[in-house]
Amino acid sequence: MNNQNHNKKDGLSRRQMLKLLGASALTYGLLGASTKAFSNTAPHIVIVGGGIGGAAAAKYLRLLNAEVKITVIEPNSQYIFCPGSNEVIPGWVTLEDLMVTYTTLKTRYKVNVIHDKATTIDYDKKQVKLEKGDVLSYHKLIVSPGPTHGYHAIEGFSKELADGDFPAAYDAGRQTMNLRNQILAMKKGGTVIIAPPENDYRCPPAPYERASFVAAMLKENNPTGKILILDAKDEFVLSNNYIPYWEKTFGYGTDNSMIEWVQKKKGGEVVKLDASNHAVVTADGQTHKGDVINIIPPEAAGQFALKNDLADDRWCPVEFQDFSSTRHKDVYVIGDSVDGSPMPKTGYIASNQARVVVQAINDELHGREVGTPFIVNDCVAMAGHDYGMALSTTFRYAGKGERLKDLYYVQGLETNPAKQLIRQQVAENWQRTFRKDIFE
Amino acid sequence: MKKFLLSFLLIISSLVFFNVQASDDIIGGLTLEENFQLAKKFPMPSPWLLAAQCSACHGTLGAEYNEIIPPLAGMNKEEFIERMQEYKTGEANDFIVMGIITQPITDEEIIAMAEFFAEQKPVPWSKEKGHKDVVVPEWAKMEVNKHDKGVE
Repeated sequence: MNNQNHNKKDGLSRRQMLKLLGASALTYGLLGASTKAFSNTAPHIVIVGGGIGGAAAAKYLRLLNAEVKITVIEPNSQYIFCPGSNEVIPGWVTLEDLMVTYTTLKTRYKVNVIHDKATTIDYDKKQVKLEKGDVLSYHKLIVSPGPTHGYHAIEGFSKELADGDFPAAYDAGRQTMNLRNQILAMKKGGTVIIAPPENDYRCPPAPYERASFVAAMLKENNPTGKILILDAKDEFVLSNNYIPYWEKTFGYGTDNSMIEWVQKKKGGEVVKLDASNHAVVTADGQTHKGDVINIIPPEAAGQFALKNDLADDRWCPVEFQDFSSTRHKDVYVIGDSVDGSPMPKTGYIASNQARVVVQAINDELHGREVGTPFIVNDCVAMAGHDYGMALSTTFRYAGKGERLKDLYYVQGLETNPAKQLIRQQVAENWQRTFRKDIFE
Repeated sequence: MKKFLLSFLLIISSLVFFNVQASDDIIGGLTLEENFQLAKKFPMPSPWLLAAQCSACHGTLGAEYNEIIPPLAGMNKEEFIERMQEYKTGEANDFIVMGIITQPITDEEIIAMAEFFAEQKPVPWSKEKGHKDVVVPEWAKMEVNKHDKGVE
């Protein structure tokens, strides 16, 4: 299906591809992965970004194909998982728990990992340039750079301030730790401002999960402390679980509530950070002082994708059968940078998009028709260490040029404590299994 | 290990004793009927891709052991089909994911997944942290605030 169209835009004909692949290159399992150096004529698949999307693409491509040469370009020598990083704030898990290296990818899956930053793509020569000067030729390029955090969309805010006294903490790392330490050190009865961004952004329930965890933290250490959620939206996913949980646990809706949530239409949207006065200004002109200020800025496709003309405006358009860029041939975009609605931007989705892409590339290498995509997303979120929830969605292919079609199911409020706890345990279980699935 | 065993028993007993509560669940997007029409219109996704969609929870191609979420690799074909159909028809509906995620999957897709998983070798993965070469920077060092999960 769509195979003719698909091949038309490929730089290499199917015959050339097969020739490159070699006659003996049938797919076989990982046990068949050779320890010998990859043949000079082996197709070279280059992956920009070693996060969840990029690492999943590398590993799963190797599971499908023992012969191709796979290179991941990633500046950091270690990766810190974002799923689970809200739990670092109250100290329920450590950042160390979320840290992985690229060693397994290199040794077990024979992936070449270059710790450098990809800068530019030469689409004519099919080459990627790296900051330190290397130039890599690719047959297929998978781009998975994560999002750009648009600090400058908020007047007075910047990456420097986020790295300093105003952590956004929306990539797991030093800012996460800084936010934790600020909340622990906050004066008695102080206020934590959390400002979630407009849609779309990575992990939609995360700001509200974070508010829940911070409330639990305050309840333990600073019971007169408050959380003020100043929102750039009027609603949020899983609010059918969070709001009742907040009512029951933190007095939400009463005068003594630990959490106050201000919707955009009620003046919640933060437009300015007044760093010197430790305050934010909302769209209606009101100033809110905060002892801890956590602005989560709006997002766009990753810098690498934006600079290399892969985005239309804010996100990267793709053909959903194989996530090939509609702007440049032989390039695929996955993860948070994709204009993928109705798919949310989650690590789970990024990993499953990666599986679609590597199957499509492998099909093409073998001269087969590219298969039909099918994607599952399970958002498992927590409200506390006694309450978990899930949102499950399946995405089906709806034809060339069409977006994938979703069928979603958001679980309602769970009142049975045993079931609440089991859902929470499953959420924790999932995080562990997911880290192993991508990096081991 | 004990904790996981207990949790697993809790799940099993919950399936038996509790009814699924669906009062304020939110369902949207395609209807099931539209979903099955789309499934019919295009070729079936490959068994590998269908099975790979399970990896994020059940481990790589269903191979994860030692956790609450059970492994799928090496599962008997008939048993897999039976379990999936029980979830799908609501006979063994649960309240986490499977009772939901099975709804839009076609019978043909379930059979294809069953055949795929039956051929996979179950790999007992260790629960131990695999990345022993992680270097924890000074700024990232912290104490765990262990909470009482109530099941230990």
